[in-house]
Order: sequence, then C-alpha cells, then structure tokens
Amino acid sequence: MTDSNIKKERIKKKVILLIFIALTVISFFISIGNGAVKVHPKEIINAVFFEKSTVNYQIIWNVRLPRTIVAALVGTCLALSGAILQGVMRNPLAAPNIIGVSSGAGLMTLLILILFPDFYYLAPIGAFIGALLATLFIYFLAWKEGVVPTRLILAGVAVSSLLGAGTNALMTFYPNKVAGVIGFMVGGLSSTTWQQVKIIFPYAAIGIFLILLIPNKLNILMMGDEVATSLGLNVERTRFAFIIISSLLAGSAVSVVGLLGFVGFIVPHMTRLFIGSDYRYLLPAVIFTGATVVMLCDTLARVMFAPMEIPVGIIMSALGAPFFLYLLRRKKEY
Amino acid sequence: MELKVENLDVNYGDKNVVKNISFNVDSGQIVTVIGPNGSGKSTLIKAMGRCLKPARGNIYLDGTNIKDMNTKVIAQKLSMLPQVKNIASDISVEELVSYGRYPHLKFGKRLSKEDTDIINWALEKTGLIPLRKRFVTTLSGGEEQRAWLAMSLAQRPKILMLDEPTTFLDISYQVEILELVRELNRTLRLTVVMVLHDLNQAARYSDTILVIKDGKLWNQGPPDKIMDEKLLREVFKIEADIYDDKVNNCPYFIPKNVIG
Amino acid sequence: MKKTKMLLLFLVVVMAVSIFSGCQNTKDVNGSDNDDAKEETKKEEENKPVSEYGVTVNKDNVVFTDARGKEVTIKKNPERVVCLYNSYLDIWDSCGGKVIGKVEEAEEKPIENAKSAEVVGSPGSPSLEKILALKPDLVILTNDFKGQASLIPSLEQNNIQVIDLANTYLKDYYMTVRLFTGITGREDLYEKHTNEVKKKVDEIIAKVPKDKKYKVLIVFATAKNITVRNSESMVGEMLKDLNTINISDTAANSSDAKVFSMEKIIQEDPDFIFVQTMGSDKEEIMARLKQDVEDNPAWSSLTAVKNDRYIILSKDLYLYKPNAKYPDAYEGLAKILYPDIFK
Repeated sequence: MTDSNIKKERIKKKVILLIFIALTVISFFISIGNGAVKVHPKEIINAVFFEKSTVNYQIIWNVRLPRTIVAALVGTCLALSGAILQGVMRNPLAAPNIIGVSSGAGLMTLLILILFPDFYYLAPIGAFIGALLATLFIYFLAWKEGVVPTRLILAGVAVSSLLGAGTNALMTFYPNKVAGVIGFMVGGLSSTTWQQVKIIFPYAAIGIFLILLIPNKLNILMMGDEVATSLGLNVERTRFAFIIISSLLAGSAVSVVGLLGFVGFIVPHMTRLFIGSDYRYLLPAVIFTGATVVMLCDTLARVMFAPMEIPVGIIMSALGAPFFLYLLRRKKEY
Repeated sequence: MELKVENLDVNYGDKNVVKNISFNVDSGQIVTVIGPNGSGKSTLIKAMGRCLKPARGNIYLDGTNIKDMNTKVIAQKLSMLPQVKNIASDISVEELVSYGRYPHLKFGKRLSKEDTDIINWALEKTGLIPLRKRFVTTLSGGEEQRAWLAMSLAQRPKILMLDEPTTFLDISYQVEILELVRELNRTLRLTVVMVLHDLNQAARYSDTILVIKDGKLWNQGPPDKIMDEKLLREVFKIEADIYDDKVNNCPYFIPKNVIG
Repeated sequence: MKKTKMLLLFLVVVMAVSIFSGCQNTKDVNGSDNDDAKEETKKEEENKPVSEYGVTVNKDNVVFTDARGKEVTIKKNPERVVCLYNSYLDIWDSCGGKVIGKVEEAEEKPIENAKSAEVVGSPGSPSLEKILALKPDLVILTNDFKGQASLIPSLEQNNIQVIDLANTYLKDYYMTVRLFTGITGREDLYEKHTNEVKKKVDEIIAKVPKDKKYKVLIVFATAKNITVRNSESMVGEMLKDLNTINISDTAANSSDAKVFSMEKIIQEDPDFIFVQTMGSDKEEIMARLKQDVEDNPAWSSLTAVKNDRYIILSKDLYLYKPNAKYPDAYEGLAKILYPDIFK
C-alpha cells in the first residue's frame, strides 16, 4: 500500500458517503412519488405548493410525506442502533433484538392492547418503555463486577426468549384479540401521520447528534477492553451509555413502527462492505443507508399489491437477505 | 515515574489469584514479572494497569493512589499493552498510533500540530516511518507489535506496561521488540514493567525481576541474584545449569531435566 | 345473487325429491356446495327427515357438514354437553340446550343457564384433560381457534361427538339454529330463532332504498395498521345486504384483516366509516377514539369524519355474533345509513 493508495482510500470513503446521501435523496422522492394512488410528479408539486384542499394534497401531504419521513428516521435509528451494538459487543451478530428491544417492546405493546385495550393510545410509549426496561434487565442480569459482551449476549438471548414466551402466551390465551395486534408484531408504517413524525424525530435527532460526536470511542472499544482502558476510556460507563443510547434509538423506532428486525442487523453489515469498519465513516453512512433501505422497501410494500399493503418486514427480508448474500460473495473480506 | 504496589489482593471471580503482593518500581527501571502459568502474573499487571479492580490493597503512581485518579489522567502517564488486541482490517499504522493521543484530546477536538508531531516521533522511535501508511493487518508479527508499541508511545507515558509482548512472535521479532523496549527505556527514561514467559530473556533485559508463585511474591531482585537453581527447581520445576553470559552481562540457563 | 338463488333452489328441489323417495343421502357433500345451499322450509311429519340449511333432521339424529367439510351425524338429546365457544353457547342455550362444561366468559355476556357449568379453560386453549374428565357425549367447538381444532382427533378417539363450527355469516347462524334445535328437538325455538329472525331481517333489507349506493369502509380501530374487513366478514355481509359498496372489496378475499392503503381511503372517500374496537364500550373511550381521529390530519380530511359518519360499533352486536339479535344489528346499521327511512 503506497502513500497515494491510502489517500485514494480516504477519498473513496468520502465519495461512497456522498453516494449514500444521494441515494437517500433519490429514495425520498421515489417514496413520495409512488403509492396506491397514481399521482404524477407535476400533480405532486401542484398539490404541495398550490392547491391545498384537493385529494392529491391530502394524499401527498398527510399520507406520503409523513410516512416517508418516518420511514427514513426509523431506518436511521435502527441502523445506528445496530451499528453501535455491533461495535460495543464486538460481535457481528449483535442487533437491537439482542438487547431485548424487540421482545420488550412487543410484550409491553401486547399487554396494553390485549389486557388494557382502553389505553391503546399508550401503546407507543409502552413499547418504548418496554424496550428500555428489557435492556436494563438484561444489563442487570449480565452484570458481575462489570459486563462482558459475551455475558450480555447470553443474557439477551435468555431474556428475549422469556419475553417472547410471554408474548406467545398472551396470543394463545387471547386468540380472538390477536388480529388487532398482528400488525404491530410484523411491523409496518401503515397508519403513519405527522403524529408519528413528532414522536420519533427528537430521538433520531438526539441520537444522530450524540453519535456523530463519539465514533472514536466506538473505534477504541472495538480494539479490546484492555486497550480501551489503557487509552483512558471508562469501559463500563461507555459501554453502558452506548447500550442505553442504542436501546433508545431502537425503542423509539419500534414504538412507532412495530417490530422491524432486519434493518438493525443487516444494514450495518451492508454498509461496512462498502465503507469499512471505521466508525467515523460507518456511523454517518448507516444514517443514510438505513433511511434508504426502509424508504425503498416501504414504497414497494405499498405499491406491489395496491391497495393492500404488505408488511415492510417481509419485503426487507425477501429482498434484503439475498442482496446481502450477493454482496458477501462479491467482497473479498469474508 | 515511581510505582508502588501495597498489599495487593486481586480476585478472578471467587478465586483469589494475587495474594498480598507488595513491591516498588523505581523510576527508569525495567522490571520483569515472571512465574509459571496460572501464577497470577498477568492478573497482577492488569491490576497495576487498572484493567482489573483489586479486592484489597493500593497502587500508587508517583505517590497518588490510582483509585483517586481519573482514568484519562492515568492514561496520560501510564500505558498498558495487553495480550488481547483487536484490529480492524482497514486501519493504517498511522491511524492506530494516532489513537495513542486520545487521552490527551479534549472532548470533540481534533488532532493538533503537536499531536501530529508526537505521532511522527512515535513512528520514528519504533522504526515505522516507511510503513506508516500500511494497513496494520498486512504487517508482520514484529511490525504489528511495533505499531502497538508506537501507539503506547504516542500516549507519552512515563511508565509502560507490557503483558507478554513477545509471546507467539518469531524469535527475530521477539528480540526486535525487547531490544526496542530497552532502547526506549534508556533514551526516554521510560519505566517499564513487563510480563515475560522466557526466563533467559527476562534475565537479559531486566534491571529487576519479580518472581510470582501461586499468587505470592516469591522473590525479587536483580537477575544475577534471582537466577539460581532454587528458583528453577521450586518455581519452574526443572533442573538446570546456570551460566554467565559475559557478552550481555547476564545469567542464562540450560535445562537438564524435569522434576516431579 | 338472484341467478345463483334460482339455481340452488332447483338443486334443492331435486335433492328433496330424492330424499322423498326414501333414499338416505349418504353422499359426501363438498363444503362449498353446502354453504350455498339454502332450502325452503317444509312442514314435514315427525318421522320424515327434514333438511334445511344443509342440516338433515332425522328421527334419532341430525346430519350436517362441519367446518372441516366433513359430514357428521349427531345423536339427538345429548346428556352431557361441553361448549368451548361462548358465541355458540349463546345459540345452544337459546335453542333449549344445557351444558355441563364451558370456557371462561367475558364479564359482559354471562349466560344464566350455564352458571353451574364447569369451566374447562380459556377459549384459546381449553384443557383436554378437564373436558375428558367431565365424560361428555358432545363437544361444541370452533374451528377458528387452533387450540380447539387440535382437540378434535383426541375427542373423536374417545368416542365423543364433536360439532366443529366456524360461523361468519347470517346463514351460518340459521344453520346452527337448525342443527341445535334439531338435536334438542325444540321445533318451536327453531321457528322463533330462524323464521322470525329471518322475517325481521328480510323486512329491514326490503325497506332499504335501491338507488343510494353508499361507499363504506370497516376499520379495526386499535390496530397499529389500518386493517379493514371486506364483504366477507360478519359486519361486511350486513352492510352488503343493506345495499352499500365496501371500498375494500377490490383485492383478495379473506375475512382476515388486511392492511389497507390510507391513500386509497382518501381517494375513495367513503360515505361511512364503521369502526370495530377491542376496547370497552364506555363512552369516554369512544369519545377518545373519535378525538384521535379528528386530530389526525389524514383522517380528518375525509367526508365521513367531517360529517360525523365515523361510527364506532358496539361490541355487543358487531364484534361478537349477534345471534338472535341479528335483526337489531341490521336495524342499527340501517338507522345509521338511512336515517330518514329507519327511525
């Protein structure tokens, strides 16, 4: 590797980041421009800026626009959460579900919708709290004078199984109420409006802001607990902080959209294949790749069998997994 | 930098691995910790580098208890090169070394000119200038270990701790690293505490040797006083002949047979 | 619909003739054929078998096709009956049937005559052991719950008669009433719960104006996604009978809730939106649901919401099967749709 090659590497990474940003913008417009109802681009501009009371305006402004924004923010939050966890745990298999976010949010939502259906409006907050509580519980279980990633993962698997069993039990004992809850379990952006944007935006913003300040810490943590300690990092505190941030990011996404398993796990890996493991590039990159993936998949989910909608999670798994496998085979690192 | 260890007890889970160890490390010395596997030497050095919390006892850096010191402040004075290190496949030598400046960086600040100068200095001292742009994973074993050493150097520590820095390296790299460490000790007055597996190496490169057996400090002293039949027999369970290396001014041994 | 009715009437006459000639109808009837078979009521002497709604009432037993499409024979006047689904228990009770075993009931709909029956578990997963311990000679269950359908082989192995139902539509109710009254021998109750009900429902349907074709949508409220029910659901059928168009009837048919596009709803702008909810019927809850919708910019743009035609349906008549109260259910919807005609 000569001098110029390293410089090329740096420039290559910056270019890739720019490409990701461009993809995000393109996906944004694709998402706004497509849906169950055909609206031409000219009509879109018309609807948004001029005729405020037409059907098209309602569709674009009140349905597609907030939905696209939420899709992007959800993708960002989940991808960031997964990328952080994979660094903190030093384990490529880490994902938000490992820290109990999915199972905690799922169980809490089910509890509310099935046992206290009158309080249905508390479900999003419940999901968020459930995610956080599950994470704290896992952390507490894994704690023994500090937390070792392996113990954390094992505790995570155990607690997720436990909470999952609780979820299944609820569904078994109340099968007639399951229909109303299935939507959450599979995950989707169906009834997204500006209210959901308001819910997720602050978390996404704070998360992104915080994360961009501290990618170095993640890089250092990745080198090993002892190296990190030697460099003056408070490993326990940093790890705890990152896990909580990760749980908050994923929890906010899950509370708005339900359980979307794919993004937090695969998107960081996909991004890594292009831009490498340096978190100073990877974190900004997943912000955009996460947004792009969810926006595009949600568009497909809305359009493929219109006016019916397929759960986004299915599209993401069906398309994303093979695509990821293809990437794996092409890149030489694995 | 003076290091004082006082009545140190360190546990691994429920097991008491380091038992009531006390010793001093004088400024500018090379101190090597030796002992059979499982004797607790790695645990000892990790506790000294505050990677492990002692169950009892104190460790003082230049008179201050490290318990009362901020970990970043400690990192500005003490650097520990552990056995277990992970490296990403796309990080260059230069980037790795630059992380050594982390303890000195204010929150959110980038590298200053002074930092870059220090990084260059560290690379120079470890002979890595021609390799600075290479990816660390493409280096040889010795070169990679040098890169980590350079990162430690970039911290500008007064005391350097090394946990088995030569284990798993080819002989040429082992010698390379130890020679480098000694030179850094001489030119920079860097206090060095290291754990070595090879007794002859320990004898050759140390000012003081600490012998750990079953978690206790079995003996300490300069190599020519420490290296005797009793040590080899009781601690390492071998019969050996001990000779004088007149060229390097240190003892060395050749094993005869195994005891017990 | 009319053509099909004529065809089936013809088929039924042919069947009646063959029965009349004395041959027992032992052919394995296909499930879907049977669903469409609607017979005229005939006044028969007691020892001549009666066949209506796909159910044949013989001297000592009753034959029908269950939810699996299987032809099943049930002996009349069972003595120890366990019912695992409260909607069917409601019908069984109203047809003069008694039970010794039941499942947990919702507080809102306890059945008086079943108070002393033993509880054998929850509807979702009743306990086979407890059922067997009661030594029943008949178990009535629903095919819609896996936890119940999976019990059938074990029950049959123990020589227990099983009635396996999956009721969705009005005709399923009639069929069940015919089946149950056939078993209990209560022809009087049969009259009451089918013919009278049918008469009232037909009266309501007849009064419906033919010219107005309102667009409707059935939504499941508390779901995270916008799940809708089309005409192949209980409420969907009622609305269809009342001469409305369900805007979700476009795609694949299934009574399971499907996720529907909000854009389509805005485009179609239905005249009425009917909402089914899992929550209680308390007023505050209903009010809150309404407020949420009005605060939501996408929903509040719809005509139905603006004109107060966003109707939250009560659980009593529209979530649980109304059974004998079908006329009330129809009338409730008719009053909302055509307030000028139904006061």
